[in-house]
Amino acid sequence: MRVLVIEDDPLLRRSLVATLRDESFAVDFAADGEEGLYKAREDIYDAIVLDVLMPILDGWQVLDRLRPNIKTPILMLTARDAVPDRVKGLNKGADDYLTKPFDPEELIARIQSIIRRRSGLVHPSIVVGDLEVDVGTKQVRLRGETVQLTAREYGLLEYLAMNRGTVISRTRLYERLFDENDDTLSNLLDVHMSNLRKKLGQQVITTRRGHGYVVE
Amino acid sequence: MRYFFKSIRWQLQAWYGLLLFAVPVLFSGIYYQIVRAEKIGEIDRRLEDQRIFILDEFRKAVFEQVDPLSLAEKINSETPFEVLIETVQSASFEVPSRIASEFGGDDPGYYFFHLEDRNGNLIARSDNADEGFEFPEFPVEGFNIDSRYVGNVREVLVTHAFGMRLAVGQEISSEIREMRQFRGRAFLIGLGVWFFGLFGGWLIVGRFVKPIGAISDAAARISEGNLADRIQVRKTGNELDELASVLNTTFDKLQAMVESQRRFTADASHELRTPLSVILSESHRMKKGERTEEERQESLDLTLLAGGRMKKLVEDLLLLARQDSTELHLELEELQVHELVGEIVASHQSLAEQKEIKLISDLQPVRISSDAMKLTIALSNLIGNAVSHHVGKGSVWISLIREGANAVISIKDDGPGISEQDLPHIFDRFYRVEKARSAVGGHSGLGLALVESVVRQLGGTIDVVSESGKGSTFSIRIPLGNDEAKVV
Repeated sequence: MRVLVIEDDPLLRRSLVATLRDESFAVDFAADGEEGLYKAREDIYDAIVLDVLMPILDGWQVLDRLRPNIKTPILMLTARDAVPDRVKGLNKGADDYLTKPFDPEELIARIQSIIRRRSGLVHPSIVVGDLEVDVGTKQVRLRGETVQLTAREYGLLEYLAMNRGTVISRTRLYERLFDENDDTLSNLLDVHMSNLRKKLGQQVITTRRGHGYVVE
Repeated sequence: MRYFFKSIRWQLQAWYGLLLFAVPVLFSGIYYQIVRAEKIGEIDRRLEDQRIFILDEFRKAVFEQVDPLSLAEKINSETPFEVLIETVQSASFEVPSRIASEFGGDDPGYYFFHLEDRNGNLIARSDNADEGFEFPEFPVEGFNIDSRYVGNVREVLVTHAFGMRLAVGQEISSEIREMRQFRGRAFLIGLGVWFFGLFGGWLIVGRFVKPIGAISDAAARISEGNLADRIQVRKTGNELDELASVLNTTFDKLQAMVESQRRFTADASHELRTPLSVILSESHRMKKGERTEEERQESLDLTLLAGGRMKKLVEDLLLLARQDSTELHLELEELQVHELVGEIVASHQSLAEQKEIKLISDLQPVRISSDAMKLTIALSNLIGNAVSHHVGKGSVWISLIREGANAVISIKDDGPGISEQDLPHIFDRFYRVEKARSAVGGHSGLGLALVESVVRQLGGTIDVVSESGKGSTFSIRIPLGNDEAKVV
């Protein structure tokens, strides 16, 4: 999962990025609304964390310019907790709203929740045959037994499972799993895929040659 | 209800009603009296005619019924009146038919008469006449006349000097009824006029009092918290409209004050919430899972910076709050400003050296009477800004001169300067030039607001000249405030 953090405060931005990376998100960041808008328009993110009070373009303006073309779920982050502000945010097309100071666990839970909602998932666990992926606790069980996965492996599986039935191209997987700072070699994906298949069995992820991968 | 009767509208109406009541009462009263006097005059004139008629008729009767020869004889020895009495009292005398038909009966409006001599002996009377007339005194010559009411009867009493007393009267119940009816009508008309006046007055007073109601309604809505509400001002330009305009202006100012206070609180809370988020996030993060020494160090740095920022912000907020409170007074003392500035410059030396910035002072000795603490806050902030906003490797010039009755302190730097669009806002609370925000070090966004407030309190002024990329010059002017000012 790849997340964009648009936050002007350097301290909070660093902290947010670190917190999200800890949770195995691929994270990009922008220091003001203009840069944020530019990056968000690439439409490669699963979620955007958007601060309201920012120089150049504030959060509302960014939101206005993204919607309705860019449908990426957006979590607004602000110090104002007055009800009209919340209503304004939600009416303008934000998916959720979090007031500073926030509990980082709540932030994570809310980001996961808006991503899940966007992919039409009601329950945090996805069951594929013998395999169960719990996107809430990030646990993977095969026939009831917990399987230990690295963050990247988990991310790969989660993304495919959430888009079950859809063939996902390699490019898209790259976009969603690695942030702009990752200096990755293209075969890194093959390494992760191969490790994942060793741990889960060959049948879970199918390769469509020339198209990509799919969980059926 | 109690308040209702205390309302201006009711009080005006009551006083006005009272005054207005006097108008128809006086008017109808006077009119009634005039009409009544006229009516009585008319009756009295009629009675006067009747009196003359009676006397004429009797005189004519005497001539008709008495033989002219014996009459001539009698007149030689008796007065004409004695002849008259004698004739009338004689058995053969017949009351003239015209008198008999005119006086008598008891139909409404009947006339009567009563004629007697000096001694009260009856000479002639109509049979419907009363008795016991109270005649006026006998005059020396001519006659005395008196008129009065007895019940429904108006009578005229005449006493002739030659010894005759005559009472003529008329029953006037129909006139009295007429007058009574007239009085009733006048009363009703007066009442109508009064009610009409009251109603008109009620409407007019209502029209003029209405704006007061509107004003108080609007004030009530505003006091309930709807600060944006205003009184509707009609363009009539009367006193109430002026009042409404004045109140609206007051409300505008109050709203602006409340608004700025609210914005300040919101901004302050925003500024505190951000570093607080950092501290919370980082402590949570570090508690969870295994961390390398490097990660831990980095997180601690973030937390420390955030904590430092909160500390600075809280300190500045406190200073500003204290500065804002009106009870605050200045502690004036004689200051050697050049020494004070020198100390402040020295305290920034180490930070300046770290950034390879030269602090160049040119301080003339100036003595002023001012508040050392305040002056230190202002200068410390300005010099601190010049150093910390500087990219490094440059100079900051601090000069102190005396200009007339002021001490002028200038802080000039060759730092990044302030852009044209930022310049008008730099003294606003929490306004931060964008670059300043990315420079994490202790900037609350309150520093310049504080400086401006302090300088103003010291009776001085501050101005700034700046150009993006070329540096800024802040100059503050503080009045000397002591005897030195008189020395030219």
